Amino acid sequence: MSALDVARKDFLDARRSKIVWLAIAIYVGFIGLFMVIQRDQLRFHDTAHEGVVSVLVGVVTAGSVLIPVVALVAAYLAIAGERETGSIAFLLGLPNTRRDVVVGKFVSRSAVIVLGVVCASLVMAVSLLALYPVFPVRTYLVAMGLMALYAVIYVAIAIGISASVASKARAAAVGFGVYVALNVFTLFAPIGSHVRTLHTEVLGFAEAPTLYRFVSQLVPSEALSQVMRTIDVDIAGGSLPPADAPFYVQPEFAPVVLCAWIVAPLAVGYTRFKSADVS
Amino acid sequence: MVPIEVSGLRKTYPGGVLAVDDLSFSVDEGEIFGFLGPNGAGKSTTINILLGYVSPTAGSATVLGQDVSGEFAPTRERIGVLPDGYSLYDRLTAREHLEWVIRTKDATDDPDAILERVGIADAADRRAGGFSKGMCQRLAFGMALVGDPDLLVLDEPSSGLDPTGVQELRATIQDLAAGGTTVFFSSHVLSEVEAVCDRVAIMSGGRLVALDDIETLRDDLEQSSRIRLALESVPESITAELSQLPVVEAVALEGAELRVDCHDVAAKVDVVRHVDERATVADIVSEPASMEELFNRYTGDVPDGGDSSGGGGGGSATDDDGTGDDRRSSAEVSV
Repeated sequence: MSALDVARKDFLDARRSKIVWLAIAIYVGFIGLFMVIQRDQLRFHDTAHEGVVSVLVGVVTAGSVLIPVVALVAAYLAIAGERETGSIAFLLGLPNTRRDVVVGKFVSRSAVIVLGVVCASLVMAVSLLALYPVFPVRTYLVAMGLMALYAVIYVAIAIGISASVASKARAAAVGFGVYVALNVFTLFAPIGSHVRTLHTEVLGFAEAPTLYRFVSQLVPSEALSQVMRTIDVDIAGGSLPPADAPFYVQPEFAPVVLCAWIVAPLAVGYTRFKSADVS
Repeated sequence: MVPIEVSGLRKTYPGGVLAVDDLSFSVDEGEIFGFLGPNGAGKSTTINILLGYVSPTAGSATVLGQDVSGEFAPTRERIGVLPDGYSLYDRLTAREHLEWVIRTKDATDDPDAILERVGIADAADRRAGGFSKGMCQRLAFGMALVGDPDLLVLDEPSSGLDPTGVQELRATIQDLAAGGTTVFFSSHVLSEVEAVCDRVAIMSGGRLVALDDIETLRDDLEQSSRIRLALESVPESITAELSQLPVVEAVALEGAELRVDCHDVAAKVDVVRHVDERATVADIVSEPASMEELFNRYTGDVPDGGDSSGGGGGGSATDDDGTGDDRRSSAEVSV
């Protein structure tokens, strides 16, 4: 398997990158700080369990803004950087196909970022044990898995971008644009509310709440929080869709969206890289 | 099996740049094939096509029996590549580079033996980020040697190497060729190609302008020579008149010095006689043509400065205001 050879070599290379570890350290430090500060919030909850779950949901939500930065930093140069410096001539001069390169890079950078998430989770576990009255194991494991999945999504996006462009500057520009579109833009209002404005006020259609909900949930951070809400009914609040709503707006559909976010960017990147002139 | 076969190859880059134009040649098994041309002649594009980095606009290229546009990756197991303008992985050591190549090629080489062979055994565990250009080149050459390839593609292999390094490289290449390895050796330095290659192809402006045994090219060279005439005054249209003479290959005028390349040695006298009838000759210098001149003649570069100082080969053949093949005289006359 050449893809594994690519991944193995790339992992060795990437794990020696100081900038990647700096990004991960900032993320882990932030998680630790968040856990310490949020301890005060426990008293606003009826039960200790509910309070801790709420804090963990908060960690994931806060992480959903930070993880993309770490993942994009860790992976945006994976292929475009090699094209710019010329080391790709070795990579493609060996019996590696372009697919091996895309898959191998995705695997190795995912491994790096998942290691970072594991570090953050250890910090979470330590602070739970030291500062909190209960350790909700199930919620903790789900939160950890979701953060890892979410990080891998952004690695896939970064690899897709990196495979699509020929220079570092372009990879950085597109990566930044994607981050702003998916994570900054949506901080103010979900995509669905913009679609609603367009749909009802500009185009003059009748309200279609299911559509808006569906569109909103297509953004990875929103899909992520949908899944988080199902962890514990106590914190779901009124944000869940009615039970008779179509399946594609139910929280159970969110994992499909999340997986699509891994496959689609890689497919786009591979298609563009496959036919690119690399020189 | 023919190691390299190229037919009707053409590559146009976005923006209409024609990098390679109707290129056809083939490389025989076990030979050292020199691929010569100034920077921008289309050499690198050709190599990039041969290695599957770039897809051709038209024509075909077959390497070790496999079309480069098809499922080419497995064939690379039998090819060693020393690219030009590469960079190594700064954070990996020399040994890690080799281990990676060995594993990817499913080879059984000993990394230390290869490092020894290319003369950087003492730097085995140092990261490539701190390597000099020469050390990088040695490591890259070592990576190309992994798996005892049937075909070695070397793009400007001696760049960055000191004279000792160049000699060692040469010896290794000759060694490998003696053992049956085909070597495709690209360079813009003629003397290098002359020293090791059996046959030479010369590219200029995206086209193949010469393809022959090194001996034949040398014979061709011996038939020609250059003469320099210092004039007291330069008569009008002297260059145009001279270039009309059948024995004259190229004429250039710099200040009051006339430089004439002739097809054969005897023609020099005709040239002197012709000029003497029209101007006062102050001095005559006759010199044998060098290999460099042969190169310049094929590639259409004006030697000793002139108007295309350095590396102007890229478009020279096509830019010669449409005179195309006649560039030997026309390019140099229009100083």
